[in-house]
Amino acid sequence: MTVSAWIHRTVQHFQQSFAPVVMTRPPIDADLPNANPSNKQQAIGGKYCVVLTSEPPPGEAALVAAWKMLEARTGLVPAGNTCLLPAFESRYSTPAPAFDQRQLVTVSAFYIDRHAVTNEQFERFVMDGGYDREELWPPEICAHVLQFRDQKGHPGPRFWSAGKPPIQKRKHPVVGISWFEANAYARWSGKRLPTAAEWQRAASWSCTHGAASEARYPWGNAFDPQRANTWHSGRGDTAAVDDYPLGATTNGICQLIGNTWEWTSDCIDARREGNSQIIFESLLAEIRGGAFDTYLETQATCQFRTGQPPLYRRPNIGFRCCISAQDLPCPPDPASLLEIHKL
Amino acid sequence: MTSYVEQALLSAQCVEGSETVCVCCGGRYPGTGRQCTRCRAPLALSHTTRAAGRRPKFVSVMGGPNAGKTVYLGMLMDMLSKGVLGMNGIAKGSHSVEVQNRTISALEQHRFPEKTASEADEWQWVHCELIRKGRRKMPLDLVTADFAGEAIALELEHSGTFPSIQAVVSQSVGVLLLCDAFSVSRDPLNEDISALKLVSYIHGVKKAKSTRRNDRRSDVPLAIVFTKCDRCPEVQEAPQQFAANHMPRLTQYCERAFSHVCLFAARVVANSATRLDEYGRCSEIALHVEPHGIAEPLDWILKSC
Repeated sequence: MTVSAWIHRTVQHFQQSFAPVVMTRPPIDADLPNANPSNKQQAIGGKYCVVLTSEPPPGEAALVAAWKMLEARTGLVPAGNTCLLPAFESRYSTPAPAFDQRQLVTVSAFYIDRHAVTNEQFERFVMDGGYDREELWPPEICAHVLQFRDQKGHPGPRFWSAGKPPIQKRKHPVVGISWFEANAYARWSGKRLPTAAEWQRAASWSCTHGAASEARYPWGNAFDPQRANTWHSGRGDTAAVDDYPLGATTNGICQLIGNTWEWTSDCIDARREGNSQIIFESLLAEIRGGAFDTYLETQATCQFRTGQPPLYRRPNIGFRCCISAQDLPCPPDPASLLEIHKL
Repeated sequence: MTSYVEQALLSAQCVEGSETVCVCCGGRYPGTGRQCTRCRAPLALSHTTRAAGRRPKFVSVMGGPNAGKTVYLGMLMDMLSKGVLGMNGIAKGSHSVEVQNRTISALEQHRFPEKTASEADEWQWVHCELIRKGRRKMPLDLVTADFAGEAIALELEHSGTFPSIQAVVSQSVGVLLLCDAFSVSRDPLNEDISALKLVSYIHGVKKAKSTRRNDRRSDVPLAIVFTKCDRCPEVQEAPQQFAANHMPRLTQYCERAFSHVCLFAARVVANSATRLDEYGRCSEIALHVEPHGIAEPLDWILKSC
């Protein structure tokens, strides 16, 4: 079996058998950007995880607090349609992709992280032995997990050293992680990677009046280097996850465009295009949003689709997690949530 | 050769009667001709360099067929036009924008630009006024050309076939030697020998011009740029190690023949795929554009010369 075929089979197996969410440990959210002290205390209390577990809630107050925490960390994206272009096509490319090549996808409501997963958050996964926990990794990938090492040979992202992220980049998105590491973290935290359609819907839903009018960027149709960390910002490296607040969606999801590409759960395989066929050296996992080194504005949009091999550990690919609204227990009475907010 | 090089050095200012002297080879443009009769450099290039009133600085972009010279040069010019590493470039004349336009337009469409034709009159020439941040010096006028790899190979076999190649190399203040990293990793022997031929040619041309004949080493800065590193990530980590492991002949020769040599890794796209059409023809698709290591070699050359 070729390496490509092996990766293909492994990814398919992973997508089919690793979908259910299993909460293993409360994600402590004390590092939440802009978190106020009471939020931090609630987070340290592990109340956020109450929402993500299938166990019976310990009580109404705890559930309300957990919901509040969840809402601070994630943004609700309502159900609706989104229009996927063929991979590697820009809506603005010439000639524009034919309508029959576009794919209208219906997305259920879901909650998506307001920020990409930071080095600090990923460090907890590493310290919790995430790389050694078999249940988080598909069996086919175990040999590769042993190679997911940092610069000093410790388990961890590629650009870390001795199991620690660079001190000045604790609030930056974690990079140098493969698609499998992103998935393992998502499972550990009780969530999952968004699909490409979900990611696109999160980035562009608030500007839509129907799928055909999806905006190019979360803030509108005109590119603005002040709102996203791309090549044009001149930074040349990742930024903290709470930088570029002007680039957030109207419901407060930050940095969907720029800073780092984000792994999604989808994969791009060889495809036919008219009478021709597009062939990749290996299966690609889909990435979205552009990064600090993305050069063309047309490739850092809500709609642009591209990919990288799932084992690549690039300095410009990170991820964020999401969870389907239907997988969560019933939200508490809005009135009681309001009470908690007042407190 | 020395005589036409000397002519060329003066040619930016020199006009005799109605005939303009070619900035590249010192040849003459015929009365109504738009290209130099000897090297096929466009008349517009000589006009813009003469109008600048400064002696232009030539930089050679050399490499075998499919080394990625057009994409590299087009991307470099586009980055300079936006400003990179404290350098800002202004293209002088519409002919200077063509290679940049071809490259960026193609990449926007997920294609790579068409192969550069072997005919010298089809080559794109660039004159770029370069302003460097923090330098009190006047702007410098950078001149280069997008030669076809096949023409360079032919020039190596039969020196003088393409006078513009020899003229540009001879006048250059620095040389960018492009090697396809992926080809080097697959066929190191062949690529090593090909690159060795090229540096030997460059050394020969530069030494013929040099006044210090006893010194075996050339003092022209030579930047060896491994291109297409998206397909060969190990180069990105350590280009020196990669060169030593895969191209020992080139490495040894450069150490002996050039005083200033530096190795770089460059890529323009993050990944590529293959499109197979109904007739079985293959073409490469550029997935997304993430330039790395493009402007650094030029920056190094300008600091070294």
